[in-house]
Amino acid sequence: MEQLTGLFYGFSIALTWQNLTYCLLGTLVGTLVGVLPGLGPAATVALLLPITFKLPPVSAIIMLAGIFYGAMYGGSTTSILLNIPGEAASVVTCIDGYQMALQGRAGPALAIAAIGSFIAGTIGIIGLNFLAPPLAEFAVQFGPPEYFALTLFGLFLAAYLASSSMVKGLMMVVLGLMLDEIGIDPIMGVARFSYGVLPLQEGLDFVPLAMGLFGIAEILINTERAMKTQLVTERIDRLFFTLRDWTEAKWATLRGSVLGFFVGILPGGGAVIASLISYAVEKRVSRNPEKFGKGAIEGVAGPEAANNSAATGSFIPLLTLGIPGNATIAMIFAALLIHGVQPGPYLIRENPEIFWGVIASMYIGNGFLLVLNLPLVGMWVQVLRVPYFILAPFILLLCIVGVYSTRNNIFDIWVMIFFGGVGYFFRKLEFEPGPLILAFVLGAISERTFRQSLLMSKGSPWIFFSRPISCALMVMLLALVALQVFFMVKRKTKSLDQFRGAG
Amino acid sequence: MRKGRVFAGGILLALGIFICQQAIQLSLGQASRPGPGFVPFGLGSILILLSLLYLVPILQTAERGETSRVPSKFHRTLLAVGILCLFNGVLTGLGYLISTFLLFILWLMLIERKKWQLSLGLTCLALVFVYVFNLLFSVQLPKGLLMAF
Repeated sequence: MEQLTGLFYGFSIALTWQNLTYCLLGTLVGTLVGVLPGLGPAATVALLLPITFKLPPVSAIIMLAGIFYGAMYGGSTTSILLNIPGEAASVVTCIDGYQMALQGRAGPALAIAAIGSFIAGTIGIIGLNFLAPPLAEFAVQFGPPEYFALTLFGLFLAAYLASSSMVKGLMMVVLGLMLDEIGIDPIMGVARFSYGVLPLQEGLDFVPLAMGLFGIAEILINTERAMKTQLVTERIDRLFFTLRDWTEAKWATLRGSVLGFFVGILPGGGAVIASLISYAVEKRVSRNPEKFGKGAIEGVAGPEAANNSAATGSFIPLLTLGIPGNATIAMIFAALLIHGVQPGPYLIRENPEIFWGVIASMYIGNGFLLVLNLPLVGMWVQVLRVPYFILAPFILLLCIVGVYSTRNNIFDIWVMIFFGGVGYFFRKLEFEPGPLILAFVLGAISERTFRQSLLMSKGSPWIFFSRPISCALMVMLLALVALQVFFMVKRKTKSLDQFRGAG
Repeated sequence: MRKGRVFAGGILLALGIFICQQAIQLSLGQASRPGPGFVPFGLGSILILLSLLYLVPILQTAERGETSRVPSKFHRTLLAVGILCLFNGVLTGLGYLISTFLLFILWLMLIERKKWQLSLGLTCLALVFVYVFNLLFSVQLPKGLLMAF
């Protein structure tokens, strides 16, 4: 009942003309970002962050959230028509979506992706609506040890899930935490790693770091690639699916929605993992797995549903615990902090207009996206014809203006260029920058709560095991580490055996 | 690729050692009262350990006929970084309009290899865009030489 009252209150905020406009703008930009290859939602949210500084906090978050879930919708268009994922969560949609387009079934593929996304988005919002408030109530009991254990567990999961290699993922996490050490020590007030450089004493700013690692690095990588693509240009005659298509796709959509939602809640989970797992599940449960890769509609419906509900699900740890689970949510976390709003268990009590306003706006945004992605699909096809050589310098300009406007400081542009170069090498060497950004955002919380916990326990690390919630999280973390070490040793032994056998 | 990985691992290892050394100078404190260097020292130590875990298997694997090669269009990336540095270097002195002009014209002609007519047209569009953006969002970009206008 409390949830319904809250939701009605949220609609009274989200339905003002101002917030409706920002919701539409967010979903529109999100779809555009999803459609255009080469610019993901994380980079776009970072790019538009400075623009939101002058907006009321609720409008800013409504717009940024719209970009995130809008990108999930838009990504499928490029995957289906171009065989290039508009953003990472649509990679698997390419496999069967493009095959369907080649067989002249681009319309049904686009339609099932949009309808599936709508259903999944709605299921995700209902889950968020009803699960977030009790979770926030529960999280009120958290003290420094619980928060430290939770951030540690989240960072470990992020490293584990977001990277191809555990060691690389953990290296990124440690680097992110280290970058957060620059500036004034939060407890002793001593300047660390600033070497007399005044802007460094204030600490590294999040916006230039994120724009460098995501925006500039992406452009630098693309200077080496020919961004020429093969667009499926035949007229999209029938922009709807048949009853048979729906029969084949409906369970995939529902499975993807539920699975995506729970994967989205996990720290480090997010839309990419959700879509990959959904594809694997659909292939496994299908009566005709041989159809996958040759234009199976379930291969489009499942992952598209999963990435949308995961995007919504990932708002739960942010809004209830104040812990962002992926890079884009980390940007929204930073936006809340910039607006003076502390995400976490007290958000629902102290800023109910943001909590309920954003949730209600998601219901509305989901409706906007259905209109934007079905009847207006032709418009996005035209957008795909804008050459990348025009887009790239404009994106660059937006990055520069965005970074400068945060603190009116040229130094921040240097920081962005530097991390653009670093991000370029990370991509080349297959280091995923997502965990770094996440660790940078969580660095302040984790260090503060760690040191507070040690002060509370007079230096005893057993404090993390003496309280039930932190103990449970630490035990899960240790079990995950042990499992990883076990698999590493097993792999090593196996390769040694093979080497000896060959010898 | 192998050389790149070894290089990256080496850099991260050196960074870990550097952070540990700097953290000791900052004062580590005690577990009951951690000093400002306590957490950085821990992070530096973990980075050293992870770098070794990353480097050792790469160093153990023999280079199997892999030729070290610089990506064929790497010079374009370097040029792109150069243009960005030039832009930022002259931004305060020349102001945002002249700097944007330089950024666009150099980017389109040198990186994208477009004809000067097209480059000039797009640059003019970019100038209008950045001017309107500046006005609309009241961004205080440096005016430089055009301060008087």
